[in-house]
Amino acid sequence: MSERIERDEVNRIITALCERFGVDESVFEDCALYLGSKGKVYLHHLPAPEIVGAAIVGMHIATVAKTVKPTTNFFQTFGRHLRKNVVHVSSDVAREMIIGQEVLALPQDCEEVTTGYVAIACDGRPFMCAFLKDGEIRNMLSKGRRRVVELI
Amino acid sequence: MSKSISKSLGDKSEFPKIPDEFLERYAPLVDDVDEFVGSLRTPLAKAFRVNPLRAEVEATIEKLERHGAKLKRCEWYPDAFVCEGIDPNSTMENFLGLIYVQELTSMLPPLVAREELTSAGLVLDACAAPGSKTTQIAALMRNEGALVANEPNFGRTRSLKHNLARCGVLNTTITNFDLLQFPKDVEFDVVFVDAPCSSDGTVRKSPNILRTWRKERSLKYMNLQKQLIRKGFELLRPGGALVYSTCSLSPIENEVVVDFLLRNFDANIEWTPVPHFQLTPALTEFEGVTFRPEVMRAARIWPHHNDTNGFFVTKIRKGL
Repeated sequence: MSERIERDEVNRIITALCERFGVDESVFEDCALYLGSKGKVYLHHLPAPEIVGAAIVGMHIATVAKTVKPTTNFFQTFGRHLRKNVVHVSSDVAREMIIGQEVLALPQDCEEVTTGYVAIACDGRPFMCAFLKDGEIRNMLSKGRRRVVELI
Repeated sequence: MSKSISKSLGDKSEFPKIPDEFLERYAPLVDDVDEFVGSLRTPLAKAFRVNPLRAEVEATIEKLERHGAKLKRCEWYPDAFVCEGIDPNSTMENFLGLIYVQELTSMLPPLVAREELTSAGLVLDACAAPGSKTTQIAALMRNEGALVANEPNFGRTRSLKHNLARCGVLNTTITNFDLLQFPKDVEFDVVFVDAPCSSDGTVRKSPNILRTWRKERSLKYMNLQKQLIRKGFELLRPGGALVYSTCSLSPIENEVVVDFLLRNFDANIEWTPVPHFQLTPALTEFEGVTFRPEVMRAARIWPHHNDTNGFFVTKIRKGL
């Protein structure tokens, strides 16, 4: 079951995502956020229906705990609005990361990327979430989404 | 059984024998038995549609052709393509939800309600997993309005959730109701009931269906289908549209079910032509039972007419 999140908390979550990735907050003007189990945050375009007993309202875009952790869904959906903390990789590296390569050294041309969650992009399009720490990129793609993508 | 049919049954060793009962049931219903049987024995090529919520058609096609895909655009649905040369499931375009690999006939139910979907405020996909039609409905709604994707089988919700996210769908709520228990306090503009069925229209994809095919199986599904179509219809607002579909060829699961609705409710069937796609008017009688004449406005899709699976689809309007 999901519950609609109050305006102040919505603002905090949206601001955290937008500041980290350079997204214009107006992108989320017509959206409502819902809180599901384990801190999962779901986004639904307005208007959202009031269905008693709804299991999931909208798309899982982030998980909130001490920080706001974006999901791969978030990057794949709003990727074109991202202006910072995006790591661009080659097709070969993308293929390995989607299969499940756990750790990748930060490419040398990524000077403006800072510690924390990052989007991994190939061919200009963000495709998954990762975490950057101490010069290493850790794979955050959920195990259920890992697969062999032969043609990139 | 004609000589030509008998001959066509034994040519491909991997393909199961077509049961005599199967042919006895369907041969009298088709316009060309040899072509019908021949098409059943021909595997389907993979098909997909470009997802306009995520992708631009021409750029996506160009990329897939660079991967080596040989693509044929469907005249009746410019977003849909038949694909040979590569497996579209193994592409980055599929991983990112730029395309959705889906059988062509499965794309028909959203298309027949295309006009309604462009302005619908609230839509229900009553049997939603794995999300092929749901993601297409959301795309035709341009991610606007509200779409409820109901899947009674909780275990199948995972694939539904994954496909909605992969395709960038932001207007959808997932529910897990047994449809018959769906809350009555909501009225929908459009309801889709893609009912559980015997699936004997999908022989080209799953030939093994023929190994266990029994005509009695349709009777088991029919009772459930009648309950689902009635409940789906009750959830409509006056003037709303219900799209009923199955991937079964059996009149028991199609015409009989639709006839039941017409006889008991203020419901009107609308013939829904799809330009460049051959639809066959539904039957007006079967095994001695005569249906309401309007039933023939429903559409049968025979596999040999459009090089697809077999299918049944109809749009039914609720009285004001």
